[in-house]
Amino acid sequence: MSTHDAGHSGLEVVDDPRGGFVLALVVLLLFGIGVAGAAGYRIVFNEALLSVHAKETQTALSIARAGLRSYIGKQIGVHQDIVTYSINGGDAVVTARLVAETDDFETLYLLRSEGVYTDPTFTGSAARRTVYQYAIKREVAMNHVAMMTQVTGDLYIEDDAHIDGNEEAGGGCPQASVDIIPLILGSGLATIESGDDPIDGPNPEVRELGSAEFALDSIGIDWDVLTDPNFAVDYEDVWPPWGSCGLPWASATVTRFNGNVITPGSVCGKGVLIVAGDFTGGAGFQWNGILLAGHIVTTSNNYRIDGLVVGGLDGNGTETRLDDDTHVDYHRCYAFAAGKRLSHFEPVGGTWWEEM
Amino acid sequence: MALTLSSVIVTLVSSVFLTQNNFYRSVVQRTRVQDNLRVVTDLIASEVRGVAGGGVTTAESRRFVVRLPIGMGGVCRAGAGQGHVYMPGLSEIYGNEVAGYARQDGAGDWTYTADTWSNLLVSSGSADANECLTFHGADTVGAIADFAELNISGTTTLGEVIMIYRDVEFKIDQSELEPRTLAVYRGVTGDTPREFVTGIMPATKFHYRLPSPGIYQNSITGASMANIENIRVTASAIATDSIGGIESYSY
Repeated sequence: MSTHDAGHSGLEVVDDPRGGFVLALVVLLLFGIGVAGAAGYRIVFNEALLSVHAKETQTALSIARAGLRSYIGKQIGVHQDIVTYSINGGDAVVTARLVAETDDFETLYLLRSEGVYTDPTFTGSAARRTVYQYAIKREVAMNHVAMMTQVTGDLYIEDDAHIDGNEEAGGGCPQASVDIIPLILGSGLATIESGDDPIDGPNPEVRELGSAEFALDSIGIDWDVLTDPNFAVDYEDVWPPWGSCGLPWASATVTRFNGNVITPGSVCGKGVLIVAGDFTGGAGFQWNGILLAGHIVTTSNNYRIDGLVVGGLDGNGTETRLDDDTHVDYHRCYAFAAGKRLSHFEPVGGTWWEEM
Repeated sequence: MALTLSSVIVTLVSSVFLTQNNFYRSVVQRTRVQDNLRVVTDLIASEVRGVAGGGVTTAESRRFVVRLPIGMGGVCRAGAGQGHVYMPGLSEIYGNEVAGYARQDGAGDWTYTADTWSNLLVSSGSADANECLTFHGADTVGAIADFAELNISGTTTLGEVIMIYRDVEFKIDQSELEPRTLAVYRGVTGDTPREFVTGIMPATKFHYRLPSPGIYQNSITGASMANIENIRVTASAIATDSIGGIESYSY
């Protein structure tokens, strides 16, 4: 080892050529540790990122599927062609495309739902998944199988009453001029006074099916859903404004009474009238459209229903008696127009697929 | 003295370096294993989810083949031996992948028929869209290319749904990329299965469940395959350090 005077006050500087080797080695190793650490961190971070993106795409798929279900469940009546639902922190954009008008009762639609989701804790483009499902739109609330359907309970028809399955619109609308059976009974029996032949329409004028389930299957309504308070209607336990009978059918409503109701007299309303309990028609009352009642109470009031009538839905089996001058006449146009207020989608099973 | 001190420092730093290096190597291996497993489960789950009823044609413990919908078309103009359909994405269908079509009956069950795309597709475009619009009110706006006329055996029904499907095969076999392990292969109609996940261990298997008896089985054969309601993959992967010195990691 050699030293020399550095020209300062007695300080000595070591001038050993091996002195820098250890420092350089340590620096190199520290650099290596740093590089390895950075690389490891990057790999773990990328793995975490991949995991998050995988979760994002799965969430997007869930949102897309939930969007389809929401659309099918919520679009009652006149539907929207495109709807956006906010679900689980993302959005489902659902569009409906008409594929074919199968007949007056059904239309085939293709529903497309695009789920979009971004994890708020990570930046990057949103995850998107798109699913499709065919769905049939039931264009009317119920099948037109009979002018009057008595699901449970006997039906007694006095000779001055009138049940008519002959279509009375007479070509006034595209679906008109199709006659139907005047009367179908589920579990009950019919008694018809013979005096003035109170029942008209194509033969057989009366069909007794022997089972309430058969009757419900025939007309195709879900009474539990229609009377569920969660099923939204236009008017609940109150009457819509009267005098709508002369207005366009766009003004038709769905009205539901959750208990019994006695209608006012000498008024006219239209649409779908759901009465969960007992329905009692007032004198001069007229309803154009569809009446669905838990029980139709015997009354001597001369009311009139033009469209379709279903009674005995409460399952109690109480007899109904149609008294003097009560008229229930089949009006296909009214029944169709009113039924459209309850049109809804039903998915075609097994037709779900994802856009790849 | 300085030499001793230097040696101690170098030894300590080297030790830290080696420890850190081993740690990060193990992290990389673990990551690779997890990545492989995630790809297996995600891809298979994603594809199997779309299988319709009766869509499983082979169900073995290390191989299964399913019919996956490429698209589904709603019949908007019916006829004998043909049907006009609306099928989103129709113009983008890769013909070689098509294995056939399936028709759905009133009960919701599918009947599959093997066919080629060139035989199935009669025409597509504005004339077919116009047929559906004119006769049954189809909404053709912005979707003219997705309307087509298809050759379908029998008479089609207005509103029925027709599926165009491809056969997709998944199998577990010896890896070509990493011969010491197995791999998961995926193949579609008319194509050789390709390796997409390596480092798979022999414990990896497919299982199938029928509604009755409701337990997972290693294989299903015959008509029972039409009733398979679940496919499960039990995946196990391994990553071995090619340098040595670190044990293998598996999950």
